[in-house]
Amino acid sequence: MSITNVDVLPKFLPCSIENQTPPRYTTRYSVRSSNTAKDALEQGEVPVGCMFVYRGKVLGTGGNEVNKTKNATRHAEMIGMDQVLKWCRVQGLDQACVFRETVLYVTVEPCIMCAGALRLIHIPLIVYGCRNERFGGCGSVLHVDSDSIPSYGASLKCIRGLLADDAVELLRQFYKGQNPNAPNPKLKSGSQIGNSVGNPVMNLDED
Amino acid sequence: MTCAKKLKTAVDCEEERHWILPVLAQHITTNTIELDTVYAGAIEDKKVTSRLLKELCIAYPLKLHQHLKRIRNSGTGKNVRLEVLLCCERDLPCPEERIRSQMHATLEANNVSTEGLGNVYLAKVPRSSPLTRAQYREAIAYWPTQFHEDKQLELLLDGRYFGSADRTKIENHMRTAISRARNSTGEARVGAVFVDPLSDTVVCSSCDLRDAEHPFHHAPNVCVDLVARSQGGGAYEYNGVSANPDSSDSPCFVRELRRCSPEAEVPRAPDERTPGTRELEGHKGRTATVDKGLARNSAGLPYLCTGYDLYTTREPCVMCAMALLHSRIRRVFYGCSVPGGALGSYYNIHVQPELNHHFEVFRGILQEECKKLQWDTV
Repeated sequence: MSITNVDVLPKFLPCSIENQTPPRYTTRYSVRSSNTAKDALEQGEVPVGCMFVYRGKVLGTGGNEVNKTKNATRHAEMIGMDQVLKWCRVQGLDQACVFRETVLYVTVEPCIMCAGALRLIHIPLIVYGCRNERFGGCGSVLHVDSDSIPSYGASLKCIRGLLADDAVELLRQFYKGQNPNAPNPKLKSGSQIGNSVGNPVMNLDED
Repeated sequence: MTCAKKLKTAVDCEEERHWILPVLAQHITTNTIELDTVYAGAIEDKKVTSRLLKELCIAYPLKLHQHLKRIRNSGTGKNVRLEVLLCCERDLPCPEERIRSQMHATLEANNVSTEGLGNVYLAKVPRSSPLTRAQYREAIAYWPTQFHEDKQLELLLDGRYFGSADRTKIENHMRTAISRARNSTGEARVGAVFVDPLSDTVVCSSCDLRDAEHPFHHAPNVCVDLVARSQGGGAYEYNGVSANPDSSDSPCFVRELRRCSPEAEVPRAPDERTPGTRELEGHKGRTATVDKGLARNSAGLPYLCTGYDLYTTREPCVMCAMALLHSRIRRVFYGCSVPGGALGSYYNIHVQPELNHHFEVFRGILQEECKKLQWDTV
């Protein structure tokens, strides 16, 4: 397990977030996200897991559901955000106010789409594990997190590298069964859909 | 684009209303040529040309500049003289070799006889092969360059890619998107329509639901989920999906829901290991059977949105554009651009080289009508 970059927290965060993100919390949440990713792997989905934390309370968790829904946009972050939105509705709270104080913990760097979605609802901080070289929207392919995109709200901050090795290991396991060069390829149904995240180390699914 | 330079007549204005403009990668649309520096020399005795050429090709082959011609004519009429490209700047690693007055000695040292060679000077040459005729015109102003015209690309750049029959079809689908957009209840009045080009039928359509239901239910995103729904999946909760494409009061429509039987073949992605289709392959004259990306499973369903076209009244945002890319969309047609748009305005996601899927994008379809949607609030 490698934990980096968590000792120094950025000073720009609202107090409520700063209070809930000392290292012990971030690690705890990241471990739980990692477990969600494992669940996704068991479901035959790309193993990405995430967690939305608002004032120390977990409002949403999610793993990829792309194969289950036949909708390529059902990434972990989208599933988690739907839960937060639902919670806001039930509680009668303004979703914009809630998201402004919510931190996302996710095992893999959000893709360009998710980064866009996270900015649209003004999430201020993302804590993620490994990079997503193929689709990453927080620096790997595009800088959706920090670019000044018109009508897309304020930029968001990222802390990267938390439990990155665990995240990579899960992706490695997922792609192992689907490597086209493997001697006995095990073909799962809808396996090709599993291209939703990249593997920063091996790129086993690449051509 | 050449069209912009034309003097506008009434006919041109009428034409312009129907322009369908391709949104191409910057390296195709730019007319700014990148240049490299080379050493060139005047040939004083034409008889030595072929010998010089042979010796130069051995001593200094144009490795990175294969598109350049080695000899050029300069001057006109009786003053025509030949010039030869001697070598690139980086072919001469030592600084002393680069002194122009020493050039003859350098050449001699590399088994190039300088007999008949006149003054040596520095010249600018285009760094890479021109991709378009406009780039070619720029390039040859510096040095003669080979050029293989891509006819489809030139048609695209000219706005002559789609014939009038195609344009009518495209505009009709955009009209469907516009009428769907009018059902949007919030500030964002956007409509989107997915079309199966094999049968030219609407697969699904939706108005914008970001203000009514969910901050991410932008019209294109809703359509992506409606397609999933038509394939037996889907994730969104809907209020009032109509099965009638002409119903004007429901927010969205999806063609009859087809439930995949468990034994039905699972739709698969096209084999990514085979070389992909060219980014700008022509549409005209292609038959469905040869068109890559239109592969269907036994139930006649594509993998995700593979092979489908999207018509939307305004340029998709970065979230929607990437959702379309994840869904393997074939082509996107939109009406008006927006500053934060991700298919041509702020980003060019459809031609982003790092991403695993590229698609064609066209803008300007019924642009004025689409713009007007934003102004007339409910």
